[in-house]
Amino acid sequence: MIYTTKQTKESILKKTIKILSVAAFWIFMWEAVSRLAILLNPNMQLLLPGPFLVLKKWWEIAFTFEFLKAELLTLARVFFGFFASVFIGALLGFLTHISKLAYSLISPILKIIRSVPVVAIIVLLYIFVKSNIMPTLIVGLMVVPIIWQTVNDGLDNIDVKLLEFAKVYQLSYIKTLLRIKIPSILPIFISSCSNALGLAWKSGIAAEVLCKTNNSLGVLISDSKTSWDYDVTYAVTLNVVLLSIIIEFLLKFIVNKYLIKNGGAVND
Amino acid sequence: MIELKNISFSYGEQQILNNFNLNVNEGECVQLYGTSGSGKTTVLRIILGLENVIIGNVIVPQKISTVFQEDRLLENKDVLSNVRLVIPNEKYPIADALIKEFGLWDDRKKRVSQLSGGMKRKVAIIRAIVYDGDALILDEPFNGLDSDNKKIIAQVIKREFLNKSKPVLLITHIKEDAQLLNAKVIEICGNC
Repeated sequence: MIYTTKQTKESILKKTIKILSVAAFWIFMWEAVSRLAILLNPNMQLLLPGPFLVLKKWWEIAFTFEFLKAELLTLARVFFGFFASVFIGALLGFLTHISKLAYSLISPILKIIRSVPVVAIIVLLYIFVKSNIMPTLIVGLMVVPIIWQTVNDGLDNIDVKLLEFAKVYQLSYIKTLLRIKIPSILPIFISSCSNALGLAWKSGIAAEVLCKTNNSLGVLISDSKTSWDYDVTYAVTLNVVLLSIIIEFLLKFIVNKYLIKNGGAVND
Repeated sequence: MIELKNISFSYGEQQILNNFNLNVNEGECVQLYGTSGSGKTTVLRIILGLENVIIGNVIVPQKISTVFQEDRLLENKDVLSNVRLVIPNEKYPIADALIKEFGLWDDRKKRVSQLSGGMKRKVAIIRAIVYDGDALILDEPFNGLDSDNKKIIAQVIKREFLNKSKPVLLITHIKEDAQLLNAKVIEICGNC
């Protein structure tokens, strides 16, 4: 099907209106529930502030030095953990693909890590690990098994016919890896990274909250709750959600650019 | 030369080949003709070392140019990349010349996934020819091609393989294909 520029613009406009309508509906619901709660119990203004109050608070704190420092350090912890994990996970996936012994040794550990709840891991590791390292470590423990599984399974399931072609035409191992194996798994690998980044972000913040990591968005959430500044709690959470949406949008943009370039299906 | 002696092969319980013999001499073209399921592609797989032969002897050259029944091209890569994948840099001009001869030069930068079935077939054949093996095996090579294109391909195969005393094995279920390459026809009927 061929789309004209006009059709594309109309479709983007429709999509934007739809997203804004849904957002407006939920903001309205939030305001309504908050007002109702305050009407029933005036103390609820403290516990359930309305969206405009939260937005006002966010505007007040979002550009302060302390907040920006916490935000940047949280991003640094999560992204460092994420990229290191992608590298380690891919390496392990490649290793378990080429060695059955490595698969037997590594796969049970990674499968166990993946099935243990993140909170349990944080509580267990908190005894041994410093709080400023913990978020990065938790991100690693969440992301490595996902990337490992994707790379291992992807390499195991490459089209046999293409591998036979490589064998018959005596392509070197490196050439087969670079020209056939890696391009075959790249779309699913990128898609898996996109999902893993969402998880990394959530688990990193959770680790910061539970471990009270200094200079972090997580500790801002945790401290504001302790001091009953619930409007700050909501404002920081709102900031986390906004960052998450921006990161997801940027990642999808990059992924779709790659997929369009390489003839794959575009993610919506 | 390509030589199969007393080959017996089965997939599990099902016997596919029973004491099968085949001889393709230098500069000779043999058409292996048979209906679907008669074991033609199994013969190709045995020659290429893709199946473990249970009984029999296989004598084949080390380097074999092959056109598979399916094109087996890298769908997301362009024509040039697919053809150049199997050759060293110094052979690129030969590949370019063949792409021109097959009428694909204007489409050389198109991704394979954007090509028609016939064009893909031509790319697979060009790739096999430029690989410059010591023998050529073609499995249903003319699928999706018109008679003019078949003639062009046959001429190139004669020039690049038969005239250079290299054996050519043509595997097809269309008997008339033999005439294009003046092939000797051998009928295969599985384990009969």
